[in-house]
Amino acid sequence: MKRPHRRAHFLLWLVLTPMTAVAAFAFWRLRPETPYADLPTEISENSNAVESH
Amino acid sequence: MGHQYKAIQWNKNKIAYDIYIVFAVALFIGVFMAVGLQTHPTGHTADPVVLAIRALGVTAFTMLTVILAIGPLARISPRFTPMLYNRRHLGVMTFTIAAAHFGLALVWYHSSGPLNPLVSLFASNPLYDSIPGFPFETLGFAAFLVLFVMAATSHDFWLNNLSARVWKAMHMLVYPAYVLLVFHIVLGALMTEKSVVYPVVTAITFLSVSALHLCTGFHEWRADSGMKSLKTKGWIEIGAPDDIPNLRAIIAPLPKGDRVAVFRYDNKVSAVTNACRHQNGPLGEGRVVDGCITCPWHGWQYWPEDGVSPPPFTEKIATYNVKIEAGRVFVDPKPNPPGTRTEPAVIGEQGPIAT
Repeated sequence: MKRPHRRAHFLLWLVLTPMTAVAAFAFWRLRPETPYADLPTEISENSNAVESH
Repeated sequence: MGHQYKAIQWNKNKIAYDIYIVFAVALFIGVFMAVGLQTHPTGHTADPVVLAIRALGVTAFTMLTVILAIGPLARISPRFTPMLYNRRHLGVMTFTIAAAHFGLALVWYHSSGPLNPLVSLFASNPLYDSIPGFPFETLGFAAFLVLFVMAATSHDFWLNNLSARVWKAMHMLVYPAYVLLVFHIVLGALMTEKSVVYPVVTAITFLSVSALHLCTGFHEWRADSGMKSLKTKGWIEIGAPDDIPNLRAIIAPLPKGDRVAVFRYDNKVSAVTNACRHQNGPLGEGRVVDGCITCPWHGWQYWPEDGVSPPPFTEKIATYNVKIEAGRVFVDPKPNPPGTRTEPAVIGEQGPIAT
């Protein structure tokens, strides 16, 4: 009997690793100069969410 | 093993292991919060609740990182195998910490308005087309759902009823979930942190796990495609009996990607499939303990001659016919039905050994 998913496991990481590393780095480079949490903005009246950034 | 189900499979070692983990988690959260209060005395993250949310999130991510590292580490060195044996409890604990992180964040950020907190989670921030303002909470929620499914189906009841193949495929969702968590962190906490320490630590963590999986995956792939078995009159040549360490096995590739584990014990040689019935663990990396082939992953056992688990268990694995001719061990690549008794080849007997 063959151990299934051996090749799928390897291929998955082969795809996920560069994709994640490149995208995460690119996204991080786009972070705002002033983080949202530091901006003196009011919480929207249309939302019940407190800004969690 | 499959004799009966227990809600939680504890034994003395697992209880000790779980106590260590609970202690380590409490220590990690405590240190994280103490350091956080020291390094962020003012601002959004100085709030103890916000800090607790972050502490729980970082703890869950760290635990998941450890879980994902255990598999490849155990393939690199058997010293890590005991961690593999206890990995399931660690996974359920990780889900518990993630649930605390999710619950606290939901209550703190989304329960004060008129909307249902879960609706608010998705509706309060519509900036799905923005990178800096992306609602990163949704990524964490998606990963949390995967962790929930994995924790809920972690029991052997589901493993047996879904089959190892389906169960394994389903639990491979943990890898995309881990990637979702990386983006949850990058688009969330890392958008507000000015220090480069946090992104560097996140990058090193992710790349370390990736490197471990890629290295071991590449090794397995090479093992599948690089090893060429010698075939003689339809039989696969394994090597000399002395090439097999006593009470251990040599793993040999078979046609169609299968692998056979050829064990030596009591001056005899027997061959079984390399895949354990439980989670397809590599039996050939295990040992013969008390006369039984013992899987290195979770300790499932089988008799070498017939591939049947000792009573009261009933699991069966495929066996292979084996013979020794002219001082060489040969295996018939055609598997016998699971549980089929085969005569072991006796080391030292002259001439062909009928099987």
